[in-house]
Amino acid sequence: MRWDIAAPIIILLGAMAPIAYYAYSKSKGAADQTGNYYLGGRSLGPWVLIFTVLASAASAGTFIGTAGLTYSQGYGWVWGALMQMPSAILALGLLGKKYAIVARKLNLLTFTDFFKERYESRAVTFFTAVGMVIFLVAYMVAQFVGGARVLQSITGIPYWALVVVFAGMVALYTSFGGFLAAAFTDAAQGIIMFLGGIALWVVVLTAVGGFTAVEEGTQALEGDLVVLPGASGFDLPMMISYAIMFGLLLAALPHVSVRAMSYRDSAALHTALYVGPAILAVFTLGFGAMGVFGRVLYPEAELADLVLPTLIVDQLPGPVAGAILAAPLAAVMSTVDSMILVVSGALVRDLYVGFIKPDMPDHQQYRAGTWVSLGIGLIVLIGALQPPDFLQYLILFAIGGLEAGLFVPLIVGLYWKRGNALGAVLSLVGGMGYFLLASNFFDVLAFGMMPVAPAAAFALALYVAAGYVGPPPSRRVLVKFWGTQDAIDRMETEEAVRF
Amino acid sequence: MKPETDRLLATEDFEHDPRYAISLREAWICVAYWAAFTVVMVVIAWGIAGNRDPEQTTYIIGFPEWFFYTGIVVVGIFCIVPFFMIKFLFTDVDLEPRPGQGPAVGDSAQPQVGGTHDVGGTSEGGRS
Repeated sequence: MRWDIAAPIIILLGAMAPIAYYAYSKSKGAADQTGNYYLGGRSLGPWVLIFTVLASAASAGTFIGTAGLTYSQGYGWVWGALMQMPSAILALGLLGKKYAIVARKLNLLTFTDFFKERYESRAVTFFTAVGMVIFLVAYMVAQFVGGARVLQSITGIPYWALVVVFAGMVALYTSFGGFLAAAFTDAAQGIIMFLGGIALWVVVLTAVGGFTAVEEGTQALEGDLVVLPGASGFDLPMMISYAIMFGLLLAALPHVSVRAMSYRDSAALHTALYVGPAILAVFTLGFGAMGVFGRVLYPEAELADLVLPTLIVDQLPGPVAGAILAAPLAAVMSTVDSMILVVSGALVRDLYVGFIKPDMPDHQQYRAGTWVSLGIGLIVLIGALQPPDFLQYLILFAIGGLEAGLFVPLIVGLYWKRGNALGAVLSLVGGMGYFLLASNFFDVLAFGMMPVAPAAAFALALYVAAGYVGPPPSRRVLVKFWGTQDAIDRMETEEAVRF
Repeated sequence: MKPETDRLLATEDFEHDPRYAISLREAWICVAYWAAFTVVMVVIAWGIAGNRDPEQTTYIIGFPEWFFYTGIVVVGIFCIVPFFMIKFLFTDVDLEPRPGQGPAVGDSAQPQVGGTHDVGGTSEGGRS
């Protein structure tokens, strides 16, 4: 067992506890407890905002997966991962100020709240909430499995102990600290990821012997690692698919887009928008491109995913290696804490309050939210200890399916008056269904692209068609989503008089 | 297409929030940024390296030429572009339900849009 490596990881990640406690004490005693628990009272400033968005979006894939794929298949994968660079601009900019304003006017707290108010359809609410719960839970389990396996192979600490410590800690700080704890720890984790990305370059370049040595080493590699499509398979359709899947559609992932209603003011949004791409570029280049350097240093590794961790441990003194290895774990934790809250919100606010007990008072929702979050955290922990066999199929489907189904009713519905409930149901079911068929049964449906791209286009076509064919949204919805606060108040007074 | 649908959607019988027009414009700018980034990245990478013979690959500071121009140069430029995009094209808007009044919303207040008055077709508040 390598305690010299494990110790800094444990210290850095243990630092999350006081941060979470600070967030908890800050939000305690607030008037609107539920709103504070799920959204931190819409108070985020620019730096916490950008790190929580990026750290939630960048998962273990960015830090371990990309380097592994680059190691075995070449530069195409770094290029592909870089296509996520605009994701902050899309996640915060597409939903934009309108989403933030509407959320304040209508007191939207969860991802599904928007769908509930915009489409006034129980079917839409139900499909969105249930789909989110299933896929995000599966995705969280996979994140821990990936992170713990890597750490196990490096430090020698038993797998079960790692899962219990990390998943248990995330479950505790998220469930009791709520959104602010998740956001503040995301910021700390994001900074670890950022510094780790930069440190890795400096250290590895020194170890390899500078750019000239890398160049010589790269030239000596198999030719299909440095060309397109080469071994990575990045031809034109694949390139465009990655731009769509990791760039554009990422805006609709629930744990990312709830952050678009959490910021304090326009100034926070603006700063986050222009620093976002640079930070994500450091994450991606910092860790992804290491796959090539790893190939130069270790031409014959057995497990591609372990090359980057091995490289870090070999080239650096134990404590520094541990500090950098904390970055992928921080990525796991920051993604999972955001997801726990989104799923908890879906279960408590959207399904329980929405369908079973509409008059649940604020403090009860808050308390239920805390315990449900803890429960989800524990389910994920148990799932990660004993990963079920069907897990990998759910993962394969999780992100793509959610993106394909949710993007159109969320973004287009926000700006297009004609968008109606029929269109929302069709694009949710149609988008996910098309994605499932194209990725598992009928390759032709994908047109040589990643299936999520044509699936999203199909969902868009259904949504637009239904907008022209189906019944339009009610005047109520139009006033709520396009009117001023006075227009909304006036409408509500009129309705109160009428009934 | 049903005519009554058109009539309902065209209805201007309530006061529209002018901030949403600003928001839509900015959303399009973000899409344009993404599209420009994607096109430039794809065209340069594929233009230099697509289906070439690996033997002809040239290198710049250790990276294959196509990756240096896209992954380093283009990415670097598109890290700076948002600063100017936001400085010159984005509008500072109050996000509260009634702009200019802070989070506590009073009932008798006059509607007012901070700094962005009358942008985007405010219509008269109809039936009151």
